[in-house]
Amino acid sequence: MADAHHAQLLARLDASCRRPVLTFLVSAVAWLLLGSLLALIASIKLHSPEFMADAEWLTFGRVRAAHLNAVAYGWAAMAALGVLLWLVPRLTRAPLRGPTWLVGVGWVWNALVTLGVSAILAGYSTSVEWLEFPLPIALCLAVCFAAVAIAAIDMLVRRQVEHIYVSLWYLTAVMVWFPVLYLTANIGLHGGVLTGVAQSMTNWWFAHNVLGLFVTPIALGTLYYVLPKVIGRPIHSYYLSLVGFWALALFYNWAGLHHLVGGPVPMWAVTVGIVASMMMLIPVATVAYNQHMTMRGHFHLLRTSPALRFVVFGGMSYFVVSVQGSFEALRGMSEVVHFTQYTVGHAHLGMYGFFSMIMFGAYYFVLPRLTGREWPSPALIQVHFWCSAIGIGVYFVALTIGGIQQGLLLADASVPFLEVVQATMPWLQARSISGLALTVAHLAFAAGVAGTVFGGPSQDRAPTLLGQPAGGGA
Amino acid sequence: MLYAYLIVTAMAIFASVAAGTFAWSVVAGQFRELDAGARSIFWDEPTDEVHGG
Repeated sequence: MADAHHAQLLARLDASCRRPVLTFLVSAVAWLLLGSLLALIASIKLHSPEFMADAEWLTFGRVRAAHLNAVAYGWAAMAALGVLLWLVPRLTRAPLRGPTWLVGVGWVWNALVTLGVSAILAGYSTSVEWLEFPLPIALCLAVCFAAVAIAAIDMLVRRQVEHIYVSLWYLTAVMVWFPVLYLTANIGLHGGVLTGVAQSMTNWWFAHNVLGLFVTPIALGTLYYVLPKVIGRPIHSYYLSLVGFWALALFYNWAGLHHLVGGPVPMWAVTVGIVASMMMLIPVATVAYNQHMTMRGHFHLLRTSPALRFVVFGGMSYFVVSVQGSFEALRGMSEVVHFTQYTVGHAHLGMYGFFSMIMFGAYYFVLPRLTGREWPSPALIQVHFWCSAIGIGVYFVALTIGGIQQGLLLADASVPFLEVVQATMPWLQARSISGLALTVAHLAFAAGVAGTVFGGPSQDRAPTLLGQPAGGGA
Repeated sequence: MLYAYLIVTAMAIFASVAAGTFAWSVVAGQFRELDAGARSIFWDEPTDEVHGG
C-alpha cells in the first residue's frame, strides 16, 4: 500500500487537475459523437450521392472536412490534452497550477472548434487538408495550446522527481513540436509566406507530423504509463523505450513528403521522405517488442481489464499501421494505392485503431481515479470495445482490399472510369456499416463517461471489470 | 542532391546505432539495469496489485 504521505500527495495532485482534465475529456467525447455523425453522412454520400443532396452545407467536400477537423481538433486534441494534464502531475509529482484558467482554455477551445467546423460547413474552408480552419481561428487555437503547454512545462520545471520517465519525454516533446508545426504551417500556408509547390510540401509535412509528432507521442506516452500500471510490472526494457523515443524524434519529421510521390517536387526530397518512412520501422519495432515482452505472462488480464484491453489493442494497431505506412511510402506501392480508399483505411487504422483506442483505455483508467466513481456498467464497456474493434477491423480490411482493387483498375487505361466506381461500391458500403458500428461504440462510451462523471455520489467499490479475475489479486 | 545524401547518411548512422542496441537488447536481454527508471512511475500505487479500471 502507498503510505500516507503518498496518498496525500496523490489526492493533492488529482485535486489540482480534476476540473480542467474533466473539461477536456468530457468535451472530447461530445466532439467524438459529432465527428462520428459527420463521418457517417460523408461515408453514405460516397455510395448514395443523393443522400442529403439538397443541403449545400452538407455536400461531401464540406462534411468530410468538417468530420476531419471535428475529430482532429475536437476529439483527438482535447482527449490528448486532457490525458496529458492528468499524466504530467502524476509523473512530475507537481500539482497543476492555474486550473481555473485551464478550464477557461478548454471552453475557449470548444468555442474555436465550433466556429471552425461551422466555418467549414458554411463554405469558408481554406481547402488545405488538416488545416481547413480559417487562419484567425487557427491562431487562437495555437494560443490555447500554448496555455496548456506552459502549464505542463511549469510542472516539469517544478518536478519533485529526478528521473524523467519515458512517458514524460513523449509528452514534453509534444509541447515543443506541435506549436512549431502548427504555427509554421498556418502562417506559411495561410499568411502568404509560401507559394507554389512549397505549399504542398509544407501541407504534407504538417499533415503527416500531426499524426507522428502530436497524437503518436501522446498515445505512446499513455501506453508506457497505463500498461505497467495495470499489470503491476515495469516495462521490459526501459533503455529500449528511450531508443524508440529518439528514433521517432529523428525520423518522423522527414516522412511526410512520401505523400508527394509523383508530384512536381524535388525528387530527392521525396526520396528522403521515403527513406525516413522505412527508418520508422526502428521505433515501431521497439514499442512492439517492449509491449509484447512486458505483457508476456499477463495476457490473461485482457479478459478483465478494460483499460488494458483498449491500450493493448491500440499498441498492436500501432505496429500494424506503422509497418503498413512504411511500405506504403515506397514508390511502387504509392503509385497504385495513393489516391484510393487504401489510404483512407490506413489513416483510420492510425487515428482510430491506434490513437483513439489508447485514449479510450486512458479514459477507463483515469476517470475512476479522478471522479471517485467506477464505470457504471461492464456491459457498456463490452459494447464499446467490440463495436470499436469489429468496426475498425471491417473498415480497415474493406478499404485495404477495395483500395488495392481500385488502384489496379485506375492504373489500367482500358478500364472505363465508371467500372472502377462500380467495383469500389461494395467496399464503400462496408465502410458505412463499419462506421455505424463505431458510432454505436461511441454512444456506449459516452453513456459510460456520463455515468462516471455525472453519476451519483462517489462510491467505494471495486473496479469495474469485464469478467471474473483469474486467480487471487488479478 | 547533396542535402539528400547528408540527411540520409545521418539517418543511416543513427539507425545503425539504434538497430544495434535494439538487436543487443533482444538477443542478450540487456538494459535491465535501468529498471529503476522503469519503476519510477510506481511511487503512488502498489506494484503487486492489478487495477481493473
